[in-house]
Formats: sequence, structure tokens, C-alpha cells
Amino acid sequence: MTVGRGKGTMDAILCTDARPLIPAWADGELSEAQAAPLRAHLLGCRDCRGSMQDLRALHRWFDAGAVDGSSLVPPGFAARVARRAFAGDRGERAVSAPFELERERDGRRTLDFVLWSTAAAALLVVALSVALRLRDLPSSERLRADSRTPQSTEEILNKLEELDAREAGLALPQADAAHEAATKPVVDPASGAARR
Amino acid sequence: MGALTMSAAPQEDLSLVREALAGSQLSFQLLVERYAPRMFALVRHYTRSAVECEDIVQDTFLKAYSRLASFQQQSSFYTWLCRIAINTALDTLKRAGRSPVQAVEDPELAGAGGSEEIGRGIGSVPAPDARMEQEEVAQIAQEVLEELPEIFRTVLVLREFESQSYQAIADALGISIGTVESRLFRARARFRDKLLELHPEFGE
Repeated sequence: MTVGRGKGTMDAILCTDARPLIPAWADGELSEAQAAPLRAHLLGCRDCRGSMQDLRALHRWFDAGAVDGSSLVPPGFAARVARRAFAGDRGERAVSAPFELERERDGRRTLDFVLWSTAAAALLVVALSVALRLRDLPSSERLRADSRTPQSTEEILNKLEELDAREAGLALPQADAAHEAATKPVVDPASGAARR
Repeated sequence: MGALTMSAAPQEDLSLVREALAGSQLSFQLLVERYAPRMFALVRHYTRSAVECEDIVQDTFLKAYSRLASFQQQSSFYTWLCRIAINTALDTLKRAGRSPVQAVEDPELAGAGGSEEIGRGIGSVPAPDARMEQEEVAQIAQEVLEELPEIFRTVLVLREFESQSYQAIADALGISIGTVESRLFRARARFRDKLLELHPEFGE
């Protein structure tokens, strides 16, 4: 491809025509028909040769920075990229996919741990509450009202009275029997006379 | 630069593209092997991070694969890849909050434009000191490039480092050859100005 400017003939050209062609000529973008008159002009024009020298000086800065890109390619790069392409992995970044997977895996592990811990804690609470309830519930025998320990003074007094009354009820027949025995006249079996 | 023999490559590229589209992973791998060095060389002008450079080149090939069916063969496979790589690099820098410097003026409208402006020349350019190491010269050139608006940096990289023709640059950037020529002229003039601004010692 050539830049479509210049007369394209071997006619002598002026500096005003030559100067705009110099960069394209230096870059190898002119056809021979365009380049020939420019070369002829440059041979006789020191100013235009100066412009050419400026471009060459500029190129020396860039020449130093030219590198062989082969040294920049990591080993196995092409095979890795081809595998990713055919696996349908967009691979936005080299480490993104495995990193995301690892994070997802870590998150799932954490969730599992929390769920299992919660379940174990719930089971423990249920077991403890059941055990406590079984320990505190009175048995059917212990559910008798009299087995209940009196709490207030009035209850205690009532209880004492009740106990007294019960004891009194039990003692009365014995006392009567003793009194009767003591007061009953003794009958002499031989004489048949009664005596006290 | 451009170790690849471009005259023989396009036909072979087309065959590899067709085979890859038909399901040949190996053919796509060959395309990657063929162009990865040039893509790495191109992308390194947009980032100094080797890891980021690899990510951008990898993403370039993955995008190319996903759009392989749309490759129109109007330009070479390399030019097509260049376009994807440059856009991917600029998108990456933008996402990372490191957008390249933008030109404050419209590079195609600023100044007189055309042959008149080009005819004035870029001005006196200091050559690197002969005593400087190549690595040092390259470092300064890269430093100056990074200070240029992206629109100028890209055209300079494609021409000066990738030795691309005006037509290939026009295809890669979607602009006309005339625009390539004027943009390249301004880019060179900007490079010279920035070089003297950052390193005035070369102008003495």
C-alpha cells in the first residue's frame, strides 16, 4: 500500500512537495514512482535531509525497545489457552476460575459446618431438657397430698394439729382400757366378793 | 521485528481458523503458538506487570476463539488479533482504574493537519547517547510512551515496534490511511516533545 500523494514522476520536486512525503518514505510506504523524485530531491537538499535525519534519530529510541516476544511467552501457554477455549472457559484472568471454585468450595464447607453444629447443639438442648424434666417430675407415689411438705406457718400448725388428732385418736382406746381396768373392782374368785 | 513470514502466513492462518472452527483444538493451539510472541510484545507496552500482560494476551485469544466465526478475512488474522488485544488491554486498564492518558484535543482536527503540517517536520530530535546501554534507552522510550495519550501511543507501538504497514494499522484501528499518517506524525512530534520535557539533558 502506498500513500497516494506526490507527482509520481522523475520531475524535480520542491521542498514543499518533498517534506510531507519524507515520513511515508522512511516507513517504506511510497511506491517507486513516488519515491524516485523524492530521493533525487534529498540528494540536493540539505534541509530535507535534516528532516530525514530527525526521523532516523527518533527511530533509534524505538529500535532499542524492540524485543523478541518469544522470551515473554510462559511455557505451555498455547496449550493452556487452547484447552480453556475448548472447555468453554472464558478465563477472564489466569487464576480466576480455580480461585472462584476454591472460594465456592470453602463457602460450602463453612455452611456445612454451621449447619451440623447447629443441629448438634439443638439435639444437645433437647436431650438436656428431657433429662431435666424426667428428673424433676414427681412419680405417682410422690404425688400424694400428704407427702407435700408444709410451707407456711399455718400449714405447719394445721399439720401438727392433724398429727395430734391422729395420735389422740390412736391413744384414747388404750387410756380408756387402762382407766377401766384401774377402776373396775377385782372379784375374788374364792369368796366371790368384789374388792378394789 | 515481525519474525513471522507474513506472505506465507495468511493462507495457513485461514486453514488453521477453519480447522479450529471445525473442532480442532490443536489447530487453535497452533494459531496461539504462532501469534503469542507478537501479542506479548504488543501488550507489554500497556502494562509493566508480567501477570497482567499474560492475562490480557490469554483473554485476547479466548475472545478471538469465541468470535472466530465472525473473522471476515478482510484483514490478516494478526491485524484482527491486534485489534482485540488493544481493546482488551485498554479495557483492563480502565477496569483497574488506570485509564491511559487521553488526548485533550481531537488528534485529527488539531493543527492544520494533512501534508502542510507534516511538511513542517517534527523538529530536531536528539538521538540516544551512544554510551547509553540499550536497556536504558528502551526504558526511557517506554517511560515517554506511557506519558503519551493512548491514541498516539497505540499508533506508535504498531508502527515503530510492530512494524505494521499504514494499511494494517488502519485496519486494526478502524481508521483511514490518511488518518494513520497524520496521527503518526503527531505521535512522533509528541514523543519528541515529551522526551525533551522529561529528559531536557538530551536537548542540550
